[in-house]
Amino acid sequence: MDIRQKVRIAKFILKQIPCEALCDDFITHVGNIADDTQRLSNLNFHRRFCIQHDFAFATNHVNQLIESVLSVVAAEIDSIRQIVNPPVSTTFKDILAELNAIEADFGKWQFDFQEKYLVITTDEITLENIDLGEFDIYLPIVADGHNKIKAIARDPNPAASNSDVTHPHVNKDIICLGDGKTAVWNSIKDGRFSDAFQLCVNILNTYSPSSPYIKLEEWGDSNDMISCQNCDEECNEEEMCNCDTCRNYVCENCYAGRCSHRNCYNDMCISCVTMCYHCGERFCSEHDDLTKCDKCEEKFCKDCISSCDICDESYCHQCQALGECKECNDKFCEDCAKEDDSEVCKECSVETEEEISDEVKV
Amino acid sequence: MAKVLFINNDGGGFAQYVEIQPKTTVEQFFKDQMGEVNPSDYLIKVNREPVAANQVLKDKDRITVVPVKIEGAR
Repeated sequence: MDIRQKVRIAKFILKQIPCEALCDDFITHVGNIADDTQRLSNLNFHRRFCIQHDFAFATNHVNQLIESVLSVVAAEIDSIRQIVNPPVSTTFKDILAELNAIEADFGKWQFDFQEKYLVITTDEITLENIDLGEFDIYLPIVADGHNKIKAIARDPNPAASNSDVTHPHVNKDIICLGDGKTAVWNSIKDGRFSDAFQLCVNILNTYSPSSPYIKLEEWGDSNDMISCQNCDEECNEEEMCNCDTCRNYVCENCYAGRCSHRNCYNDMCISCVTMCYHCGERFCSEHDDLTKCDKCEEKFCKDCISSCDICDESYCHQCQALGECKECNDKFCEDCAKEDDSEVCKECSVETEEEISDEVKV
Repeated sequence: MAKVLFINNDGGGFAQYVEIQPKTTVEQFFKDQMGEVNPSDYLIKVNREPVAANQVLKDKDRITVVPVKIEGAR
């Protein structure tokens, strides 16, 4: 990249750093001190109460709490001091030196003015004899807590079980920085972009077997057979599906379909599905609103079961079809029907009898 | 006494000024600051450039240490 472009980019980056990152941090620390001051004020109130009532032990305890808040305040003040008078002050010259260092370390690089990302390309990354290819690392120039560091595989060799995982520590193009998190973000805050890139590259070149998205032993080739996590049968990736409840990767035989609930698109395996005993509608654990029949004790969906409005017992349509009262339109079961009239419920029959006896009295 | 800026990217990645004796080499400085760790596990740069272990540090030098192995997570 020619020097004119570098100067333009360095000027642009310099404008972004102090106003966005450092000012936000400054405000956060000032806010924390304000909270601590309020806490000190409350503790002072307790302290006065304890002294007035001669509570020696409680006074001592409150004094200790005050001491601990004071040390937190001191740390916050130190942080503000570091922002106001940083050990690494970021000047135009520093940024330009950083851009030159990036070029020396990684060769070609780019800058995205729109998204405010510096971009480099790594060498081929190979972990435990698995070739993962080159990655483009997108480094935000501002560490505002929302930005992510992206690593986009140029010629991806993703895990067989999940095509979003292009590296054991990269999912959906975002690097999980793990042990390097604080160092990377501090480098970005200080404008030490070449350090930040070096840290990211070193993370990509390191395999942590204790915490990968997918272990390298299970990486496989996308044409390889992988085993169903439900029944252990070996299948091709195209024949497999992820259960949204238990997260298991299951074969066609263990896949139970998609939840029948409106607006729910959860895929389910046979271990997590709940099915209506009559119509076979399937529901995921989130929308498992099936009702148990009080007679046959099987589970049914709303369309296949009804509840008696009088006694609240539920019956599937096979066990008992509920009648509808011609007086009150309530649904009622056999036990709640009028003894000599199956079209009227028990409650209406009692009311009718009371009305008749009232009329007789009159 | 010379004063150098030491940026340790192992852990927090904090920067601090350190006073050094005259004729302190990079190797000696690394040992003083990092203790008994293996220098080959780190990338050491002075003023953003790779250096030889016996290079003598001077006032206002900027020493950066980056671990070679950093464990990512999920």
